[in-house]
Amino acid sequence: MNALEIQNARLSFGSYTALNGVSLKAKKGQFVCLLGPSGCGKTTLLKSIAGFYQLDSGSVMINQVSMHNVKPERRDTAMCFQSYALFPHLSVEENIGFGLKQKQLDRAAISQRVKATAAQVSLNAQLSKLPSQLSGGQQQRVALARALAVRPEIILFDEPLSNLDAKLRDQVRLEIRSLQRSHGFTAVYVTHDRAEALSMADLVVVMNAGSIEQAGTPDEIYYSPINRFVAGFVGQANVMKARVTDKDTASGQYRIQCVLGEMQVSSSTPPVSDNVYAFWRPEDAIISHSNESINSRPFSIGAVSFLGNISELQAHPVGHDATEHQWFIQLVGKHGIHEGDKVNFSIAPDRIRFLQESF
Amino acid sequence: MKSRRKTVLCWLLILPAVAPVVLAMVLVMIMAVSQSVGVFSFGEPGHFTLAYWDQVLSDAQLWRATGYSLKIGVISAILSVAIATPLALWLRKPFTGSSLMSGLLKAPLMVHGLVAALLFINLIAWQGFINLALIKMGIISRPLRMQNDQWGIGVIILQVWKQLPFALLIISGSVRSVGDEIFNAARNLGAGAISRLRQITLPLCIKAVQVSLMLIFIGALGDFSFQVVAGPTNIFSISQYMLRLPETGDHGWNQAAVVAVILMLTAFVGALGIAVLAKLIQVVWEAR
Repeated sequence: MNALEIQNARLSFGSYTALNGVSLKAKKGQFVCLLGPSGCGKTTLLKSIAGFYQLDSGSVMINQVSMHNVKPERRDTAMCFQSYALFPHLSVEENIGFGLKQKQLDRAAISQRVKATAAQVSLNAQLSKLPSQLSGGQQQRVALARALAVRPEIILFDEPLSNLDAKLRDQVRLEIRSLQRSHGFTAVYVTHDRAEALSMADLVVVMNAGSIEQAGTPDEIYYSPINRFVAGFVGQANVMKARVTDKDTASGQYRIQCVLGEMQVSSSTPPVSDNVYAFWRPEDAIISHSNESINSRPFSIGAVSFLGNISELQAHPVGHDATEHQWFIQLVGKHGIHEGDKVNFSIAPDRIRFLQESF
Repeated sequence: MKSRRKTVLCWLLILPAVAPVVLAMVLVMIMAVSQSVGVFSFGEPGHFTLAYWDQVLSDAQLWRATGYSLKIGVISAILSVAIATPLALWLRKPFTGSSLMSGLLKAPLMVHGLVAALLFINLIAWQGFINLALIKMGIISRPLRMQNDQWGIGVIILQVWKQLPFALLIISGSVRSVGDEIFNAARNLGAGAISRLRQITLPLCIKAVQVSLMLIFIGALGDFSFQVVAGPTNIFSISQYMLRLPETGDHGWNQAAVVAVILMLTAFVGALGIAVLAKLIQVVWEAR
């Protein structure tokens, strides 16, 4: 059953179109990440689900019930805000119990639920404190506990980790995912961090300019993006124009002519036309010690960045130094490659993928 | 040692600004108190006496004037804040015409109290605009007596009209500082309009409400100009009573000083009381 269904949602602020016909379905217990650049409409969509914005047209349905004209306080959603939005005058205990108080549960039931929820996010020792007495990570946990306590059908997360440092972000990210699995609520999570989206989501929805570009599992989004925007947004993508010169659709074997010369491609998805964009990921290139290896080509090395677990090379095919061919290659560990070197790399045929976008 | 020297330096730096203000306040208070106990008198050597206090405190007019001024102060403060709070919430988010509305509401700040009182008289006088309009429309056959009404309603209306913008400015600033996300979070957790007002807006804005109540109360308690122009003729306000005393006899200034001290004390105690009361109401309301 769909816990959330959005049909053709449109919303404009004056001449600015924030949502341009967005449709989306989320199953009960699914973790949905809305991923996109700033201003793409993901937070607007989230706030429309919460009821803070009324759609110009289209509909939002929660548990098959239309939310048209349903006020935010009447919707079965709870939201974790980017700024946490904790009530500064209330203690942690009162913050967590706020939603339960609105539901007019008796004091004993509220106290019991608050303590149980606080325990799940390791906040028992902080119950009497005010939000201002907590660290950023603890405040985030209070916001999460406050939303969890009311046991809503859907929890909406608006970039909840953006104010935390990298280490804490990883920790809280795992905690959110773990709580979502154990509680089984449906989560709609807004982020512009692709790592967050890919690691947490069951369904990643990539948005751009008020529309959904692509929705799919993290694997689908990363390995089978439909266009250059999605390919580039969910990770570094080395995109090239490819002309299909030979094809065997049945076996999925193709030959393409591109800036790297003639390359072999093995793809279960056929190209949408003979002039199509193809791409490969930086981690798909491996050092080749022979020119004879399949899909092996020489590259000129630009900047070399050692990032600890990987080395990132800026590289372009020899003889093609235009901006569009300044690509990235990632190698595990540290290598003796320096700026100005010429190195052969090969890309396996099944690592070159077609975008569903012609030129 | 270093930090102590820094603290001393800070005090020395702010002293030129703070000292004249404190000095002026303290001097006025000392003068009023010393005059009220006869230590300082006009035209004769001073000597300590409680006779002036005795004379003033035994005058029934003082108590009537104090009671009347307290009534005007309390009602004006409560009404101004009660009107300003929903207005501040309404004007929290910009909408078409909100700037104009906000400007109009703050217009009384530009009009002097005495001018406002005269304009008000034009409206409510025996031959004023309201009476003329009501007669022309056939609603009444003879003018109503609204000017100098015995309950001080005219003065209260003028006080609210004049003080509302102050309360609006203070409370608006406080409401705006709460931020949309806090209100949205409350809505999202099921809090309706009344719950949000009770559990979020008022607790977070209570300090602004208290400050507004205190300022308006103090201003209205010591009102003179509105009272003289539009107030009842059968009762004095406390300031009116104070300013009448110097004309009454040789020691009128000393008696006026007694009333001045009473006025200051009433303002202080009343303002404190009204602020404590506001906080108590909030705590009780929140606990429900």
